[in-house]
Amino acid sequence: MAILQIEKISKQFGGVAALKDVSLDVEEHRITALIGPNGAGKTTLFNIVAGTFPPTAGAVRLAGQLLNGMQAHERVQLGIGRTFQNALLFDNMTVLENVMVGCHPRSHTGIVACGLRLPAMRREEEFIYLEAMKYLNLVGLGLHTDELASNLPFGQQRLVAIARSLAAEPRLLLLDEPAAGLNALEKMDLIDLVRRIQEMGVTVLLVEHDMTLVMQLAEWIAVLDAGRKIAEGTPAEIRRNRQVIAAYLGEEEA
Amino acid sequence: MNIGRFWHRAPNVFGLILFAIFLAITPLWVQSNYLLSTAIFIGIAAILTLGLALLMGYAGQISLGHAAFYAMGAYTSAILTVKFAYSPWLAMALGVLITGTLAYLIGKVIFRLSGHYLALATLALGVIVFLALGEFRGLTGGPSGLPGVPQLTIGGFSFDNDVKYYYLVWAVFWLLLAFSLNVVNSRIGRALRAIHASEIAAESVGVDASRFKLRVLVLSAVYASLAGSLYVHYMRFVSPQPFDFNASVRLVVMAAVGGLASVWGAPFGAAAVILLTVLLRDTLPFFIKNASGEHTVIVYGVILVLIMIFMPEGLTSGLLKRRRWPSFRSKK
Amino acid sequence: MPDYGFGDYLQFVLSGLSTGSIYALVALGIVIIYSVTGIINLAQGEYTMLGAMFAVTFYKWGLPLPLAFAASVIVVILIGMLIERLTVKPVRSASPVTLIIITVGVSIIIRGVALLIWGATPYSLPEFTPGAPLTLFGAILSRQRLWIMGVTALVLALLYYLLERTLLGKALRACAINQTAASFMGVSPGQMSLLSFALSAALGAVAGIVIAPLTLVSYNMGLMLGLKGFVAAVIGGLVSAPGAVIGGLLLGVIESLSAGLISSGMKDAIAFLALFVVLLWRAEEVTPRLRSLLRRQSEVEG
Repeated sequence: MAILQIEKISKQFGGVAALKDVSLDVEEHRITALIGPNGAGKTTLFNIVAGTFPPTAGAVRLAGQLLNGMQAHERVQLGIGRTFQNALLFDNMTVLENVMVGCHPRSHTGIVACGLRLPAMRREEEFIYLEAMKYLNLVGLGLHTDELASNLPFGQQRLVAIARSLAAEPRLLLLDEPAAGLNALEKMDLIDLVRRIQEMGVTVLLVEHDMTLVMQLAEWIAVLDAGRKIAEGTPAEIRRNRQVIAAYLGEEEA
Repeated sequence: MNIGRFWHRAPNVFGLILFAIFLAITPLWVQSNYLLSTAIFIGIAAILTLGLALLMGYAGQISLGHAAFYAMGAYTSAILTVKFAYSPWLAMALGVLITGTLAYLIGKVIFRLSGHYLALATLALGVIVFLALGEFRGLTGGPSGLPGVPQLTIGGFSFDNDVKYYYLVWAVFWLLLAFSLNVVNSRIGRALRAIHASEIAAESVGVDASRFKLRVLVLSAVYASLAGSLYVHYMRFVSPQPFDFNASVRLVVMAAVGGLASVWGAPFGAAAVILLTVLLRDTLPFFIKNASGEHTVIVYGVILVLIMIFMPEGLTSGLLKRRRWPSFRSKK
Repeated sequence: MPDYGFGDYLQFVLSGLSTGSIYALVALGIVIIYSVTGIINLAQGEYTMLGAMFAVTFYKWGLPLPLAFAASVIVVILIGMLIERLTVKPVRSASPVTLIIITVGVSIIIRGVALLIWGATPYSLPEFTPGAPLTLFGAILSRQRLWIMGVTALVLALLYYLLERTLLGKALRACAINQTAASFMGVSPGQMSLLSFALSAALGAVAGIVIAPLTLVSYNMGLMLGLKGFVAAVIGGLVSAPGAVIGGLLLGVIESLSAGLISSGMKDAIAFLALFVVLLWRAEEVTPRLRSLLRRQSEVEG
């Protein structure tokens, strides 16, 4: 079953068409990768799915529910989590607090209960803390909780961002270039982490440039070029696809 | 683990205890009625500043008409008690309700826009309320004001002298400070700091930025309304003059001096500005011939500009040179 | 309600247009600074006060009125540039809240210093061409009101020429549209910021001088004029120069009609009520544009 259905999405920026009629079904529990040369429209598609901006035309559905017109924060409530290329952590907060903010959609205490520290609020704070710790341990940062997020090396900031998204317990996680700037060892860890996320029942859709990593990790690949989907299939199929090879040769070596 | 987490809050808890002791013993050594009355005004201003600091520091929004919320509390209390003989406490509660509702309605629309528009909308609100206070003579007494506001009493106990009123005002402030600290160190405070750091990232983890800004606006309006009620029951009189545009600006100065990065700055900001004003009013005429109270505003203009240029986080945090946010968290 | 004839209405509209011209000049100053630097300059009204005060001072020193006018505008331009260098340049990248507070601080300082120099007693400036008021279809109009409208029209024409026809104006507009792109083209945002303050100061000073003969000149006259300028700028959309002019004229007429038909006491309240209504109305209209702007920015980042 497709958890995410992207139906004939087009996006114009001014007069420039960033996406043209892109459709894609993301199967539940499968790791899907979105690849393509620079400027193919991958991040734009992510932003449309996450609700950062609306498409010019087309529809996005999560488990059959139409998302058009919903704001980013409402989509998080429905189960879409995302990370950004540049991590975009809350620099003024510690690693733990960053991930605690991620629990936001799953907590409910209002301003009065918080101000009075009512028992319900204390219980919820404890719950938030434990959940945040759980996800920090998952990404291997359980020992860095009190560090200011901006003091971490960039690779670790990415992990914090992933933990922050996971803390909302998404059904679908969008990872935007999670491997950029990582060394070989860190990439191995990342592959391992993404597989563990998959085992938790989260569907992962990632944008990635590192072909070796994509071929190792993804079970399904969709290829965008100049705003159009030119191919999709298993890694083996994509590797053989002439159009994909041509698109990549025009840009860089595949 | 839990003990470790308690220590995160410990500086605030100890701070509140120390502050309570300091407040409690102050009237024992401050014998002058003039100073005690100044301390009461500082307490009222501190309540206002506390709300404004939350709004400016945590929600990143500025109110240039905060005196309007202050006036609404003050006039609701005054009108209901003088003209309709309501109980002062009921009037105070109704003031909070009315002011909070109005803040909610304004914020509901304005927070869809950027901070500039909120600043202008609050500015307009401030001027409208101020002008309305002078115009609707039947209800407000017009520019000459409304005398005869009753004293606050609980059962047979009446807050009829400065010492008693001092304790009342500062107790209210202390409670609101504790409340604010709790809010700041909760999921709501974290959400606000997240919005402050990156609204896009905050939305991406499910925080509804405009809703949280709105809540803080309402909270700060409620604080202002309480301050207004406390003010009229102390003065036993109300007129439009303390709620003009300059009053709103003065509140922004207090919040800026106190520091926007921590709610602890509010009492310091209020105290610094009021004491400085008193000091200048008493000493300036020695230096400048014909100087009047109006001249003291130059000094706060200069202070305001210097602080904003060199220490935009405010004087208290600027001087403490704390880089972490919020201050008073555990050190590494 | 008194029984008004056509002449009375015409008079309300004409005097509204002349007061509105003043608001338009102040609003234009606000719009120029906001477009180029992103700063809401709450000290804009103080330039009008300074313009009027210096004109009065120079006139009293014995300068002929036109010379006093010109000298005053130049002095205020220099003050505007000085303010930009001292308070805006050091904090170019500060948050909007910080910048607004700084301009509030600046306006307090200017007002306080003016009080120190000129005292609290109001001054007056003679009309540019004294004489009996003119009558037009039953409307009575003082000569100074014609001067106000004439000078405003002239200033608008000059400004149009400067912005649309000169290289400097094009650089300024480029900076308002996209600062980064403009700096790639060799336009210095710092210099444009300085220029925008100079222009706004000039506009404010002119407004202050032409209105001076009709109102008394005092250290606190800038506050209300500045706020009214804001109302006008917001009515016009805050980034549009023609919008600011229309906003100013509209506000002037609304005020003058409401003062004549309702009550002069409520005149100011109605102006601010107008600001409120416009803000609420614009909230619906501006939001999508703002959002798309914001989001495009995130696209660049992300």
